[in-house]
Amino acid sequence: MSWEYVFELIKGILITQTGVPHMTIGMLVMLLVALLFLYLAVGKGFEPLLLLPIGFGIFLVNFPLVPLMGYTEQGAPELIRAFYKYGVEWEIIPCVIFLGLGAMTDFGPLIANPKTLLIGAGAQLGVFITYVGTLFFGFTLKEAASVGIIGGADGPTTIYLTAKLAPHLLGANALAAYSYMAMVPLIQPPIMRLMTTKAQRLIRMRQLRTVSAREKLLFPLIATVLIVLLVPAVAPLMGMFMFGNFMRESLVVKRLSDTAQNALMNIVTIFLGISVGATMQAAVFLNWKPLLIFGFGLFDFVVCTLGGILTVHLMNLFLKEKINPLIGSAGVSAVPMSARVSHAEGRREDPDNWLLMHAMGPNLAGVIGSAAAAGMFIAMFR
Amino acid sequence: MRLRHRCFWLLALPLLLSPGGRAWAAFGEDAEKPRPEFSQEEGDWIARLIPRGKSTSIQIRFQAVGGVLENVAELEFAEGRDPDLDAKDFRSGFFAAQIAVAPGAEAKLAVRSSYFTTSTELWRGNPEDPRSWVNAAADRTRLPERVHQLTIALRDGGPLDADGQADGVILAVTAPRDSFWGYAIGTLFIRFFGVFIVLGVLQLGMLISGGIFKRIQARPPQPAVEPHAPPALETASAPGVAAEAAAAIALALHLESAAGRAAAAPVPAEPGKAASAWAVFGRGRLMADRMSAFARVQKKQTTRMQGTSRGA
Repeated sequence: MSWEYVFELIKGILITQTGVPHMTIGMLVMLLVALLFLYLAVGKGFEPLLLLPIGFGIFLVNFPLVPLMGYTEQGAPELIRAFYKYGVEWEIIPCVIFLGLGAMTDFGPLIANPKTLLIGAGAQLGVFITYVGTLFFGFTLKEAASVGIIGGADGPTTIYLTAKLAPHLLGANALAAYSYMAMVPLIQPPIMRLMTTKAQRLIRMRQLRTVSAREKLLFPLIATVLIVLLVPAVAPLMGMFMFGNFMRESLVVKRLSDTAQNALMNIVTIFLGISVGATMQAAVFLNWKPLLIFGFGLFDFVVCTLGGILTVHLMNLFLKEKINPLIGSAGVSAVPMSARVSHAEGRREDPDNWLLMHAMGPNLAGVIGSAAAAGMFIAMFR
Repeated sequence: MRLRHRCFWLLALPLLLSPGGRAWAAFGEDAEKPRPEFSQEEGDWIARLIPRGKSTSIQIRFQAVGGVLENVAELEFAEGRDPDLDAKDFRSGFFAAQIAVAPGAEAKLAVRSSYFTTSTELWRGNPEDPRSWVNAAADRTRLPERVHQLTIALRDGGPLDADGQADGVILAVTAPRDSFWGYAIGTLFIRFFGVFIVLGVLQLGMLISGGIFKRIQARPPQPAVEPHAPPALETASAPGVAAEAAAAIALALHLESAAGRAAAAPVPAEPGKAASAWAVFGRGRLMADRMSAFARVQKKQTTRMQGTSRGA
C-alpha cells in the first residue's frame, strides 16, 4: 500500500462521505436563519411551540449530504421527508391540529354575541387584497392565494392551503404566518390607535350573557351544518375543528378531549414544525420569493387588522349598543393573542374596561373566517 | 432599538424595498404552464390539461366540419410571443390544428369545453407574425351540461390559415382567452363577500338558536310536584331547651342505639368476621392485584433459593 493510495483513500472519504467540502454559502446563510429563529423561540419566547421545531428543522436540513428530506434509492422517503409526505403533503397534520384546537376552544363568547362573526369576516380583507397584490408581483393565482391566507393569522389553515396549492412556498408561508402571529402585540397596537378615537376606545360593552352547556353542545353541530353546506371544500378543517369542540362540550369523552388538547396536539406539532422547517433548504429557499412573502405577510396582517376595525366602525353606524372598535383587531384569528392585545389596549385608556371576553368573540370568528376564506380559495381552483 | 423592533423591520424591509413592477416577477420556471395530452375520439381531437389557476384537469374538444382534423398540437407560447400578449390570459394554452381540405376550400373549426364561460374568446394568430394575435370573433353556441362551443370559419390560404398557402392544409393557430385580471379581481370580490355570507348565515343560525335557548331559560321553573306531602311532624316545644342541646341529645340517643353502634364501629381488621362475603371477595381481588408485583419478586427469590439449596 503506497502513501499515494492512502492519501487518495482519505481524499475520497473526505469528498464523498463528509459534508465539509460540500458546504455552501447558501447553507451557512440558512444556518444563520435557523439560529435566528431558534433564538427568537428560546431567548425571546416568540411562538416557541412552533418556531423552535421549525428553526431546528431548518438547522438540520442545511447541512450537506444529510439523508433527511430526500428519497432512498429504493424510493422510500427519508426521515423528515416521511413526516412531511404523510403529515403535510397528505394534509393530515393541519386537520389534526384543528381537532386539538376545537377541543381547546370555548365558543361561549361567540355564542353569547353572534354579531362578532361579521368582524371575523371583515378581518379577512387583507387576505383578498394581498392576493391581488401578489399577482402584480408575478405570483401565480395559487401562490397568491397561499400567500394571502397568511393574514388570516391561522397557522394550520395557512399550512393546509399552501400544501394544497403551492407546496414549494410552504416553509416561507408557515414561517411568515407564525412569525407575525408572534408579533401581533407589536403590529396591531399602532394601527388600533390610528383607527380609533379616545372616545371610541373608552366604549364599555355590556356583560355577555351566560351560555348554557346545552347551547355550547349544539353550536358545533349547527356550525358544521351551515359552513359545510355553504363551503364544502373546508369540511376537512371545519369538520375536525367542530368534532374536537363537540367532544369537549359533550363532557362524556373527557379522556378523548384531553388527548386531543394535549398529547395528540403536542405530537403533531412536533412533526409539523420539523417538517415545515425542513422544507427550507438553501437551494430552494434563497431567492426573492420568500422575502417578498415576508413583506406581503406583514402587509396582510396590517390590512386584516384594519379590516376588522373598519367592520366594527361600519357596524356601529347601525347598532344601538356600540361595540368598542378595539375588539375589531381581534378578528384576525391569532387566538388568544390578538384578543389579549385588544384587552390591553382598552385598559390603557380605562383600567376598568374588561374587553377580553368581548374580544374572544371576533377572535374565534376569525378562525372560522380564515378557514372559510381558505375554503373559498380551494373551491376556486377546483 | 430593541431586538423585537429590529426583527420587525428586518421582516418589513423587503416590502419597502421592493419596487412595484414585474422586474421581480421572474421566478424560475413557469410552474403553471398547461401541459396538454391529446387523444382522438370519433375523428375529434381532445386535449386534457390542467389550466392555469386550477388544480383539476379539463377537456377541450376540437372538431372540424368540412375537412378532416389531422392533428392538434400544443404551441409553445414563446413561438407566438407578442409584447402585448399576456400568457396568463390564455389559461389553457395555445393550440395548432391541421385540417385537411381540398385546396382553397373552406372548413369550420369548433372548439368546445365546459371550462369555457360566456366571456371566453377564441383568439387566432400566426406564429411567424407575433403581432397577428387578434380575437377571431368566433360564433358561440351553448350546449347541454354547461358546455360552450366556439366556432370559426377558415379558408385554405385565407387570412386565418397560419401557413398562408392554398395547399390543401389549413393551419389554425388558436387559443381560448379569458381576461386574467377580470377573473382575479372578479373572484376577489365574490369570494370576500362569500366569507361575509358564510359567517352571516352562521350568525343568523346562532341568533335563532340563541333566541330559542333564551326563551327556554326565561320560562319560570316548574314547581316540583310532590304527590304525597309528608304529614307535618307534631313538634312539641320543650320550654327551656336550646336547639344545640336538643341536637346533642338526639346524637347521643342515636349512638346508643344498635344502628348507631354499627355505624360507628371500626372497620374489621380480619376479613370475614363482620364484613359481607361480597365485600371480602372484592377486597381479596383488590389486594391480589396490588400484590401481584410483590408476588413475582417473591416467586423469583424462592426459585433462586431453591436453586442455591440444590446446588449446595
